[in-house]
Amino acid sequence: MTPSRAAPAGGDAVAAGTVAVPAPGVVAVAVADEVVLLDERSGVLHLLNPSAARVWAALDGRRSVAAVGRTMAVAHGVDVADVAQPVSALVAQLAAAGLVTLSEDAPAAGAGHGGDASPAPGETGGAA
Amino acid sequence: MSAMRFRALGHAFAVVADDPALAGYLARLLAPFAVDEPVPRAYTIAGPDPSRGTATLSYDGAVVLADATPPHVLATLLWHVNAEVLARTPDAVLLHAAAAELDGTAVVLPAVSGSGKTTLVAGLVRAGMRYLTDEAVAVDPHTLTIAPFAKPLSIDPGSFAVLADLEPAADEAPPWTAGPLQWHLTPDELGADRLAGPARPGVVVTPRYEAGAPVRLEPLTPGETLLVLADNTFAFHDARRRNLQVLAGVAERTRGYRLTGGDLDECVAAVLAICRAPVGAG
Repeated sequence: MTPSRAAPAGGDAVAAGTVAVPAPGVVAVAVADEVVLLDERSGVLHLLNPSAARVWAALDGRRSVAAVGRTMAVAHGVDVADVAQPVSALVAQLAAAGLVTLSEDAPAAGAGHGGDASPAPGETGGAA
Repeated sequence: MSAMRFRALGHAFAVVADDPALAGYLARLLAPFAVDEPVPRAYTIAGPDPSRGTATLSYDGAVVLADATPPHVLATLLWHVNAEVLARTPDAVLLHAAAAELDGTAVVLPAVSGSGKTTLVAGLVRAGMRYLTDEAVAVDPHTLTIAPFAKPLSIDPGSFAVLADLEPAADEAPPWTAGPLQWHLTPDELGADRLAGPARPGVVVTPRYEAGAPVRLEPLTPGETLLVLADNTFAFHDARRRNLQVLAGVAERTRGYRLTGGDLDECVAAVLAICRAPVGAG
């Protein structure tokens, strides 16, 4: 049996205060600046491009989607407004594919205070 | 009638054939696997029956194929050896791929059956590369090196015309090779000194034969290369975490391409150009 594969698809956006965390049974493997996700429940492989891979690395279960967007904006030197919607859409796609689980109860440090712009684990920042 | 002994990756076996002509043919066909050591399993090939002309293949005393035509028995033997190699080599990550080596670096050709990988690797070896396999690439999970599995190249009838200069002699081992289902070519039939040793993968090319199509090479990202390798890994899910890690290591250290084309010589030239290009080029 060989793995099937899919690009995360579907979903529109999630609320800014939503917190996402990798779903149980999802294995992430970095390959150069991309990430391949293996959903062990379905056997499906998903490929994240470098931008999506950086977002994935920031989904630590603490930061809200808005905070992740700010992290990406700082890392790439762009306006938050330019990345907020793509980050939100990506998280929605990941959720629709069952690769992350979402919750609305973001910890205070990660949601609504605008102070969490530190790089995520594995985040090198800068390069795009 | 003596037993010939072989080891192909994790499969160690003997072959005993009634017919001396078949024994000689198999000794040549399986020469890259010949060993001088005890082996735990044995194939026996009885026949051909003088009256019916049929033969029977057994494996460890159990009949695999009875009263069949000699070419069918020969093809079944080679198929069975391949299947046992895959089953008995669990320590390696096994890719459904052909491979050849040049200057110590391997080009790996993963693809589904019918994509043209055997024909392409035959063309590459004929053009000077050294042969690793046309069926299963065994990647050591610790060193990421490829162990040779130099089985006879199994050429399907669809490629007979493009490899016409390699057509085996019709009378080498009649009736076993009469009207063959496939040509079985050894690496030395493609040129002198064509057997590769262990090699590190440097290039991954997933080929697709498309009649009449111009040669097109499309670079793959490392992630895309990993997906191609995973798609073409035997029993990927039996050890999926290990396999994914190993394949990621291979993908990070290789340059990946998707090759489409309908002309063998042009495809060979394209792959050779990639293999000879310095790392970082293209």
